[in-house]
Amino acid sequence: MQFYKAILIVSLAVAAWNKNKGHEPFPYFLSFMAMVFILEIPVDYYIQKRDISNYPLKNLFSKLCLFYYLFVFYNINKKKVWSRKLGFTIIMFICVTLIWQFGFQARNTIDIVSYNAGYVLLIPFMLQYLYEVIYRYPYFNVFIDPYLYFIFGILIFYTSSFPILGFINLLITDNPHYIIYFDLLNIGNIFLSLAYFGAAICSTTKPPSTISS
Amino acid sequence: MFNDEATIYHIILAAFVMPVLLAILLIWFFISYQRKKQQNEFDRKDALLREQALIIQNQKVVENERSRIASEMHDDLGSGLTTIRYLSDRALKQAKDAEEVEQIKRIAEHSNSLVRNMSEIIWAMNSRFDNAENLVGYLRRYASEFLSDHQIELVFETEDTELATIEVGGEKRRNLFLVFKEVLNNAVKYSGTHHISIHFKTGDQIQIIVSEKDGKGFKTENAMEKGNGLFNCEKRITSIGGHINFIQTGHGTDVTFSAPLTS
Repeated sequence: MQFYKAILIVSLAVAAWNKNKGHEPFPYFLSFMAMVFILEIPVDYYIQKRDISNYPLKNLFSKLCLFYYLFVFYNINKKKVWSRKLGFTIIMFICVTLIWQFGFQARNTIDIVSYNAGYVLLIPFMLQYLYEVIYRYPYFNVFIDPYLYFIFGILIFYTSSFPILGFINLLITDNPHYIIYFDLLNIGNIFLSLAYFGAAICSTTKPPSTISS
Repeated sequence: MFNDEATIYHIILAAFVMPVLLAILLIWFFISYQRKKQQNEFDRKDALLREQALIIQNQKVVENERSRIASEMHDDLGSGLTTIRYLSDRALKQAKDAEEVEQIKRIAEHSNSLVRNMSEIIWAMNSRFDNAENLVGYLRRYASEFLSDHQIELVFETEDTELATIEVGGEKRRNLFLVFKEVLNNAVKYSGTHHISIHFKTGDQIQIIVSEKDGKGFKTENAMEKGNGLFNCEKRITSIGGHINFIQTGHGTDVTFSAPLTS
């Protein structure tokens, strides 16, 4: 089994344990982890076994992850004055990407349009968090904040995978060595699953009464 | 399939540049966070120092006020009460009948009692006397006068030499004195002893041991029935975080009471 999938299983277990104790780093985190687990492990295994193209699954999966990340960042900013506009923008984005997925996206290609657009939409939120920790909010122990691990994991994943996934359709050629790009993606997946693990672990500690509340 | 080597080259270049940018971002974040943490630590220590300075200032204000009140009580009330005692002593000499003498005697006794009580209150209130040396001196003087009035021999011992440096607050001094007073009172009333030794020790706590050398002791249950004295002793010593013990020995009762030096 790929290493990042093992981390996913542990993260799901920790999230379930903490949810049982009444802790959750973000709303619906356990549901999200369950969805990730199901799509990445049993469903992916079934598709590979049946030798079916996993592009539609990966496209849908990346969108669902993106929607959840946007929901988490909306959650950080829900008390801000512009939160309603943000919520509207996110809903519009979700609608547009779904329309693109089911209306225009070619079946056996990776949806790099939604991927790139989502990345562009996420970057400001992640930079906003880092900026506000330093300049806006009073000092708190950021290393027990689940948002820190979540954001670092997403940043590292997208930074390392963007050049590959963002242009994957250009990189895929008759040369069978293009498979190496997918192997490189697994490195990003490790950081992403570590992000989920870090967020799950941090939910056992009392969150700082600033950003996370 | 698209196969432009230049495009692939640019993509791979981006694959290196973006992590570098990310690394710069993360380094900036951690350095800024560390600076913020240090600033926070500095601010916290500064706030703590200010708070401590404020506490010390407030304590000084309270001590000054205590001394002022004690001084005014001594000056205004003390002199007035002393005058009452003097006048009642004179009236006693000029009294004609037994009933008049009795009434004037009662006035004199009350004024004497008031003078003593007020003197004790002034002593407890005055922050100049907030040390163990003064406490020992006060207890010794009182015990000496009280026991000599009842023909009881006193041995007063103290082990420590640097009593002036040991701080004992007004409330603690007053409560220890009142317990000491009650214990001596009970020893005189009930034990029949002719020799009492008092031992004063300091360390983590102030400890005073009052021992009867040739008495029959007193049963604390009997004493409690007769009045609230011992009950008040327990209440007073507990209020300052201390303890009191009564041990019946072959030659009387040993009473040990103590109070912690830190509040």
